[in-house]
Formats: sequence, structure tokens, C-alpha cells
Amino acid sequence: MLNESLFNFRAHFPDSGTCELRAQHNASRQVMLLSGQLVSNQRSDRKGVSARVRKNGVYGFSSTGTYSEDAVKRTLKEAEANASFLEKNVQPIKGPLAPIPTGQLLRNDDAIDVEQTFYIERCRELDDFVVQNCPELVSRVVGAMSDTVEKVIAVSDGLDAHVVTRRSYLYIKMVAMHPESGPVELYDIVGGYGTFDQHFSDLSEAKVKALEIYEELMKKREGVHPKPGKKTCVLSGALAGMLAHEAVGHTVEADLVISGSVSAHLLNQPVASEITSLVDYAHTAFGKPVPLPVFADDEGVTAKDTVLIENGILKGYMNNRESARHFGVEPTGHARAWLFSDEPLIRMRNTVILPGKNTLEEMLVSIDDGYWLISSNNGQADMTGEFMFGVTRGYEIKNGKIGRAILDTTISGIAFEMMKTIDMLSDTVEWGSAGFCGKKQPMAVSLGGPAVRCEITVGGRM
Amino acid sequence: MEKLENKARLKPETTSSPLQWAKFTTLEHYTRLGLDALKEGGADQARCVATRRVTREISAEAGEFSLYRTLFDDSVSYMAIDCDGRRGTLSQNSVDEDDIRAGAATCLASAQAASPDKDWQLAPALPIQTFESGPHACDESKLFHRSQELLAMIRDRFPTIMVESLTATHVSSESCANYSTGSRFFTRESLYGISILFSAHEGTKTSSFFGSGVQTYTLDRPFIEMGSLEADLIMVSEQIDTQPMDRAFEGTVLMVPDCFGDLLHTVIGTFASDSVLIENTSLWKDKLGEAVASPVLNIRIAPSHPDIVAGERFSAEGYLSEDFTFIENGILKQFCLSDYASRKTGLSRAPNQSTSFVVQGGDASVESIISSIERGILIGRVSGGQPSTNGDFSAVAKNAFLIEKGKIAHALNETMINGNLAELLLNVRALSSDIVKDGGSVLPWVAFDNVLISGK
Repeated sequence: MLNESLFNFRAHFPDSGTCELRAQHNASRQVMLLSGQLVSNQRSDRKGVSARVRKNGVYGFSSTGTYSEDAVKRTLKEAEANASFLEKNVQPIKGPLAPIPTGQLLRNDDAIDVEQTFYIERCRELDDFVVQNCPELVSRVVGAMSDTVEKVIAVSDGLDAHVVTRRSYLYIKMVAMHPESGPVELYDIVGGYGTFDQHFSDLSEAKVKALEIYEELMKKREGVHPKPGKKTCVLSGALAGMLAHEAVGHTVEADLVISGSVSAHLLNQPVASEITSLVDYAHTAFGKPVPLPVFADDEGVTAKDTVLIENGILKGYMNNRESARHFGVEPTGHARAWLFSDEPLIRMRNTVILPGKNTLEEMLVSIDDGYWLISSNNGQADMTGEFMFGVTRGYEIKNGKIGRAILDTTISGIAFEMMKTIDMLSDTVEWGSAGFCGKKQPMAVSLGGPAVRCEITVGGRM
Repeated sequence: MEKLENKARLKPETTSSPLQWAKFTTLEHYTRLGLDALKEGGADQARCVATRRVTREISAEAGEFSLYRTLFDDSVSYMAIDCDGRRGTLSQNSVDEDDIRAGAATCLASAQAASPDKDWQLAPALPIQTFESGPHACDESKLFHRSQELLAMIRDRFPTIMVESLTATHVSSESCANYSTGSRFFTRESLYGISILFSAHEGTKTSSFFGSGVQTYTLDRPFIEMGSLEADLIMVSEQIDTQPMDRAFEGTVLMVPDCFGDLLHTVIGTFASDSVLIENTSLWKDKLGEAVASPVLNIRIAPSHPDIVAGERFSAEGYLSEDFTFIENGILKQFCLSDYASRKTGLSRAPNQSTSFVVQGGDASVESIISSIERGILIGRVSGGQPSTNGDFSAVAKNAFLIEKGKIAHALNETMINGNLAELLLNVRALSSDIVKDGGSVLPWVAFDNVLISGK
């Protein structure tokens, strides 16, 4: 656990300018069994202190791996010197940041992670289960990962905080042989917020997931290539989450808006069908904790929900204090850094398309000729809103009935055109939280949504 | 013994100053502490690496300088293998002596939790090696002014370009890698880097974003003259007005060098890397010595090539890195395997673990390749995930132009390419005589035939 002596070091803040101090510890574990062989058995610990000083609209930053009063003083001095270097060379004319509510937030815990042996034993048990119950595989991977991020933050203006975020997962990949296409694979993940032993003292959920992956893979090894072109599809909640994060979320991060993303021209304009709303939640959604709660950001801003799209209208952007000043709005807690040595950037938190009123069954029955697209292995988007998702699991839909499994493909579109075609939303939200968002630094984010019926371009073969 | 002497002759230049040796001595002290703790705790083979790194980074957002960072980072990494082959690794960024001993104990605990596997081995002992490259001191003022000059040139020559982010860095690191075998490697390495992420804008119209950058030892030339920065800015400037692809056809795909480099990373991951060969799922598993690409394709992985900046010097297991031929005249000459995967598969170890690609160019200029294409597209980058294990891929062509009858017709949006990665390499139509050197690789433009290109 990090001590809270940082709160006492505010006396060393420079006389002028906005200042943040952050002590942080990132701990991660990774174990991987490749067809039963332990090929990865890693632990990583990164901890230290950073300081950021704002002078007239430019920032200086410095970090060191030592957490002591002397190290804090040196780091603050270096950060201030860096800010002065830029101020002298750039001569910025920005004014001060708007004041924000002050206070203290303590949401740390004293949980202790289990030993590495526990991770390896859980993987072995799950791998043995896969060997016994999934006979037609040519290869398999069972892995475990966890990361813990603990921060103590002291700011010249805002909320001092001590917060901890933990998440833990098991992942399973299976490979089988397609008679014509060669190897085909599927993977899935179980786990979420909390320590590894909280999730995996009992492997029942992981074993059910393993059987589900195997059953789906056996269908996929008989699968066909989808036909390319624009199709009516039902996207699962997992894919809707990708849509929320990749295709829309990044284009409404205020730093990208200022750089000219497509959303710069669309505020208060229709960007989706009227049944579509999209929110980036801070810590609570639909009456429950979100997968990765954020209560305060690394600039000392109290985290609040950010409504991005409401009934099809683009309503707002995600800001840090600097961009909030630019747009004349209140910041809602999006400035986050991954390591102690990273500066806070505008990041999403728990981004989700809100559910509708249809059942998944109603949506599938409604399609004459299209696809049900269920799992994705990656997604990317552009400043233009043009996006691409890899699809690893899906089915044909013919006359309202589920047909053959499809082989891996890609779906793509332009977010704010495609979202205007959304005409049905399911009543259940599916969340995912195992991935990292990449934007200079990695960041743990969660994303989700209901099943979505829409028109979308599907890759494939003629 | 003869092999050892041969390796010894590869020893690079000796290190420069007494001061530098003093710094190395401190790092070596840390690694000795770690190594002794690992060995006393039961490690049969062990490695401890201590690194001191200082990073200076100047950033601009939306074309304006906004942040200057200096990062002081000390780190220690450990690897322990016991007599039964149980292996564990740990990395931490504390160099306090008690923390180093505690880190070694944690690493050993990880190893003891692992399963026995005799294929984890260190390289045989080598004489002490020292490696030095780059300017250790950062010229802060020159780095800032070269960055300022780049933004000014872009504003002047490419008025539609918005630089979303510019990052100029100087990274200076010193490290000691100490092995239980007796090998010790001392490295002092410094380099500058510049990267920009940008797009073109006109009114409400926006091009796709594009990233470009270089690594370099010197700041003696404007950044815009390095790598492909200027060509990339020209390309994106012409991509504001895009049209969707309105048909599907089999045609030629011409990739810019950076895009081809990304493709080579994907090729290795899909067909030639540790995991797919240990899993025995690679389509190339029985292809060593056979044709896997068109005869015009020659790829070396060459971290000591003079145009590679701060290339890999040694592997984690303690082998000195040597350049090697990956594909020669289309023939697969060597898989990209670690020492561990080599023992697992019975295939030979790759002489280095880097991705410092050096690809031999062809005879034709980029213009003449374009003029030879009846119907196809020019691609700046590809947005897509890892192909299937069988090589099938489906991806969005970004920063793309339609080529018709030997001429660039117009910029494209919503265009997909589909095919099989293994087949793609067998359909290389041409490599350009124009070569881009960005410090990380040496690559030409490459054209592939028979790719399915489709739109909405």
C-alpha cells in the first residue's frame, strides 16, 4: 500500500501555477499455458512519483521511481523548470484554469494479491478441464492476467485522492482444423473488477465458458466466408461496446475534437437514430457499479457521468481541465494516466450505448438476409468516424433463422452514418472490461451496449 | 573454444570515459546483488539486468507546444531457472538494495511455482561486451527548435494539415546485463525520435489520420527531410476529398513502405513466430527451404545494418545478435524463433529477436510501378486485426487512392481488402527502387497482385 505522506508535500508546490503530484504503483501478473506448457510466468511492479506544473497554458512534467520527500522536491523543481522552458520559448497567452471543487476522497483498500502459484494452479486446472472435455483441438491457450493500479494524488486545486483499481481475468483460446481453410480459432475471457482469488477460487464460470467456446468452435470449423457488402446485421452487446468506444468515443475526446475530428462540426446535430443514446459513466450505471469505477481523475476532478449522445443528438465531449476551459464547460473527470511516469490524457471510462426495448430473439427473427455478429478481437477508428472491427464469431441469418457459422471477417462503416441506421436495441447490456485502450499510453477501460440492429459493411469473399 | 574466440572478435568499440565506467560500476553492483540473491536462493541459471534511463520529451497538441517531460527511470529485471528448468521473471523499478533482494526472492517464488521445463536455457558464457551508440547528452534547445521548424514548415507548405500531436524525444539509457554463466554486457545507448500524428482538413471535410516518424542519432538535418515525413504529408494533403469504392474487383495493391513494414510484423506473427510454431499451427511449419513468396522478395532482419538506429545487440538468453536472412529470392531461410522455441520445435534459433527489416528494393520507381497498374489501389495504412491462423485477412484500406489505367484517380474511403496473407506474399508484382529509411527499418514500396478490393 502507498502511504499518504504525499498529502503533506503540498507545501513544496511552486508559488504560482496549477500543480499536481501523484504517487502511483502498478502491479501486474501474467501467466500463459500454450498447449499445456508454461511459456509465460511474469510479474511486474512499477512505482514512483510524478509532478506536473502548468504555467500560462503550458505544462512541465517530471517523474522518478523514488517516493520520498526529497524525490518529490526534485521532481517538482524539474517539472517547474520544464514548464518555464516552454513558457519562455512559446510565450503562451492562455489564462488560468477555472477553479474546481476541493476536498479529499479515500477509496483505497488493503487487499493483498495471491501468490503466483495460485495463478499457475488455476490455469493448470482449467487447462486440464479443456484437455478432458474438448477433444478435437489442435492447440489451446489458457492464460491469467491481473493488474492493480493504486494512486495517491495531491493537487493545488481540486480533490486530493487515494484510489485503487484492480481487475483479474482468465482467457481461453482454442484452435481446431477447418477442412478447407486450415486452422480456425476462438477465444473468450472471464473475470472483471477485483483480485484474482475473488474471481477464480472457483472455476465454474470459466469451465462453462470453455465448453461454450468449444461448442462454438466446432460450428466455426464448418463455417463459411460471409459475402462482402452492406448487410442488415445484429451486433452483440460486445460489438455495440466497440462501436461506443472506438467509432464514437474517440471522436468525442475533446483533444481530438480540437485537432479536427469529425465531431467538431456536429455538436447538437443528429448523429444517430432517435432510439440511440450513449453515455460514458464514471462509477455507477443502471443502479449498479460499473465494471471499472472512476471516482476522481488525475487532475483532482470529481468524476461524473458524461452524456455523449441523447436520443440521436450529439450532446457533449469528454474533457480535461484544459479542454473544458477551451470549450467553456465543466470538466467531468476524464484525465487519467496509466503509469506514474505518464501524464494525464483525456480517456474514456465506462462507455455504453443505452439499452432499448426489444428482445434479442425479436431482432434476429426480423432479418431476412444478414448476419448475427457476436465476438470481436480488435477494433480501430479514425478521426473521420470511419471504423473497423475484426469479427471472430458470427452466424448467417436467413429468413429470421440462424444459419451457418461464418469464418473471421471485418465489419466497417462511418460511425455517424451507420448509427442512423440503428432501428432496434435489445433490453440487456453486455459489458467488457478486459482490454486496454491505446492512445500514447495504455488505459484500462470498460465498454458495453445492448444488441444493435443496423446496416453495416461486411468483409468477406465473393 | 573456437566458437568463443570467434564471438570475442565481435566485441564492439571499447567504452569511452572513466566517468562512464563509474556509472556502469554502479549498475553492475545492482546486478551482482540481484544475481547473488537469485543464486543463493536456489537458481541454477539466472540473469539480472539494471537499467538507468532518462527520457526528455517535448510535445505539441493541435499544432501548439503544450508539454515538456523529463522522466528518470531506474529498473531491475530478473530471470531465474532452477535445476529442473522451472523459470520465473520479474521486473521492478526500485534499485534500493533491500528491494533488489526482495525482487530476487519474488522472482524465485514465481520460478518455484512453475512447471519443470528443460528447454529454458541461457547462452554459453561470452567475454565482457560493451556497446555504445548515439549522443548521450540531449541538445534540448536544438530538439525544440527542430520541432518548431517542423511545425512551421508544415504550416507553410501544407496549410490544410493539422498536426494532432507531435512528440520529440531524446532517450538515453545505460544498462548492465549480468548472467550466471559469467557473461556481462554493458550498453550505453542514446537516440532522438520524432513522431507526428496528423490529418488534412478543409471546412467540414477531414482526411483519415496518419502517423509518421523517425529515429536518429543526430539533429543535423530538418526532420521533414528524414524518413517519409514529407511524402506522407503530401499524400494526406491529397486525401481530403474521398469517394467510396463502388465496386468489387481483383486488383493490385501498392503499399507504402511503413504499411509494408506492418505487414511483415503480421507475417512473422502469423507464420514464423514462437507461438504458432510451438502450437504447430503455422501454415509455414514445413516450408523451411521452400518458396513462400515471389522470387523478387529478399528480406533480411539486420539490427547492425548502418541505417538501423539503436538496433538489438544481444538476446535475453545472452546470445550476441547477428543479422540474418529471413526470405531470400522468395525462399524461407529462417524462422524468427527464440532459443526456447528453437529447443521446443527442433528448428534453428533466429540469430536476433528484432524486427529491424531490411528489404531489397527493385528496379522500378514508384511512379513507373503506378503507371504499370491497370486497376488497383495505393494504401497508406491498413486498419485490421491479426489475420486468422490460416492467413485469411479482411481489413480496411486507409489513406488510400484508386489507381486506374496507370494513374491515381482519386482518394478513397470505405474500401476493404480481403485475401490470404500466405497467397499475398506469393503475388508480389514489384518492389520500388525508392527506399525509406526511418531508423527502424529499410523498406521499399511493394505491389501485390490479385487482391480482392471491395466497397460498400
